Amino acid sequence: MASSRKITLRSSDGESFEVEEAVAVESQTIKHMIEDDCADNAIPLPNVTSKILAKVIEYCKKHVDASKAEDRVNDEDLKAWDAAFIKVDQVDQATLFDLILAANYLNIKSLLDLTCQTVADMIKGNLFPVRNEWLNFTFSIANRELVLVCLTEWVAHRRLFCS
Amino acid sequence: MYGGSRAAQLVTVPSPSSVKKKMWNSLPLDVLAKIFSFLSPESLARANSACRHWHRCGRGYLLSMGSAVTWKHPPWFVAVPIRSLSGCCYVHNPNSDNWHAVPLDFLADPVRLISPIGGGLILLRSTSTTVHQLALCNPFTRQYKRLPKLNIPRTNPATGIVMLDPSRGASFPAFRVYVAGGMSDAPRGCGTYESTLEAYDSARERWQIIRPMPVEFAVRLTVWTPDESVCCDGVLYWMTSARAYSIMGFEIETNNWHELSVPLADQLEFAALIRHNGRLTLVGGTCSGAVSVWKLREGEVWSLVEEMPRELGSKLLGGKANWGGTKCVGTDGVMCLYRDLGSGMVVWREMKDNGRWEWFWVEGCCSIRGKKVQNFPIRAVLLHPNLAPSHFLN
Repeated sequence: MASSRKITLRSSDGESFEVEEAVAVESQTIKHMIEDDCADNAIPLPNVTSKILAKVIEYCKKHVDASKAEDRVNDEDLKAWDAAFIKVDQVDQATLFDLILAANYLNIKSLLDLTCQTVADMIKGNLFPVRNEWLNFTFSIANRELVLVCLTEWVAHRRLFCS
Repeated sequence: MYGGSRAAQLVTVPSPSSVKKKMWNSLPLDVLAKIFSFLSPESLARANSACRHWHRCGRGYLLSMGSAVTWKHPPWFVAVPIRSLSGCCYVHNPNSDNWHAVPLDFLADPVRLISPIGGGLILLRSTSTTVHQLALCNPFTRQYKRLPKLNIPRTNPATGIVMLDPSRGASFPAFRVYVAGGMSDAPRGCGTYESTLEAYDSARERWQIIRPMPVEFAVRLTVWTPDESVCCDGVLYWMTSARAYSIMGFEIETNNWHELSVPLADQLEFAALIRHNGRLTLVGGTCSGAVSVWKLREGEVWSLVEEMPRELGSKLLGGKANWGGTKCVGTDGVMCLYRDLGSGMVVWREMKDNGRWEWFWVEGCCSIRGKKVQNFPIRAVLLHPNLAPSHFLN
């Protein structure tokens, strides 16, 4: 597309963000709104705060730039950028949580994959403790899972996390 | 430890107590399902026990998984002793390079492994009768179910599996089992070769006789009863179980049979058919000590695609003089060659990061949690463990 139109996005707390159309349509949700001609004025995004919208725009901008760079940005470099973008000590948990919901609502596949993979890594890293009462719940409704419980040596983890 | 490189940990470590449970408990189901799709089976078990909401999602997610799911984790190696002496099967978790013993005491019959069906299910043959009797099981949910009796009872037929594309709304699993050949009990105690083919459809849950098959195929499938079948492009392939190897193919749509030759057929000391990247693939070991992998190309021509590194081959041989007793299992993305439970195995796997295929050695199972494990001859399958009890097996 020769001309790059500017699209205005409005966050839930009333802040407006002007972005290039190519960046805005990283979101399938926004893309459909534009195609349905709802984009004459600002596109309201009642589910996304300005803080999160700013981060989403940052992500989309980077990915759009990466794909159209004259010397294509190395896949490795982009992955490294993603890792830095989502690093949990820079992005607190609440922000990560909101980013997931925003990526889901805005339908941005790559951002949703990135955030979900991050949470999956947290699960793999035992960062979600097993609740003591749910230990019993799990055992009682599924003796079948007892087999897998032995498999994962999860009982050992239980001692670590359930206090 | 094989299992690919540890993906760069995106997470530095907040302490578990700082995880805000209330917040994470409220993730919508579709997002949670997406997160769960990144988890290996043991991590999924942990996620299932984090809270009621996650448990419900985990179960629901697992139940809806069909063979169409693209797995982000390698399948597990599930080995069943050929003579089920120990009452356990032994599974290898490729993520942690650990062996585990999974009890099979819930099985109603002594069994012999045939083949995996998608969704973590295994097809077995009950060995409590000589008449062919099939059953399904999931060793992780401890479910076992016999299939109905065949219309024409027979011994030693060939068994083949075809996974069906789950049609919209059809429940999972969707598959068909074919039984071909075998010996039937004729009157006066004199068995004859049974030249019919029967098919079991998981949707209808009954056997149906398909039209007769050429007698020479029935004879060969009975005398050299193959354990495994491979389905590629609408053709079900079986290979005879001993030298000189040959392959029989059954075209499902047209009910036609044909034969395929095997490269180096009389020089192979072991040979196995697997499905590799969607194509029919033959793995065989020759008396010269080499193990080769051939792929079937257009025009039914075999082309050599790979050879196992010699040092891995020697390790697998373990000083034995020939390849007898070596077996091979494979699915899209991974292939394993093995002998007994303790002898270790050679794995050829597609690496997630770069799409290249690499060869590894995996130590056999000699002890589990400090307790010595006896060495048995085994038969194994590759499958993705499914923790959700299947309604089909109830």
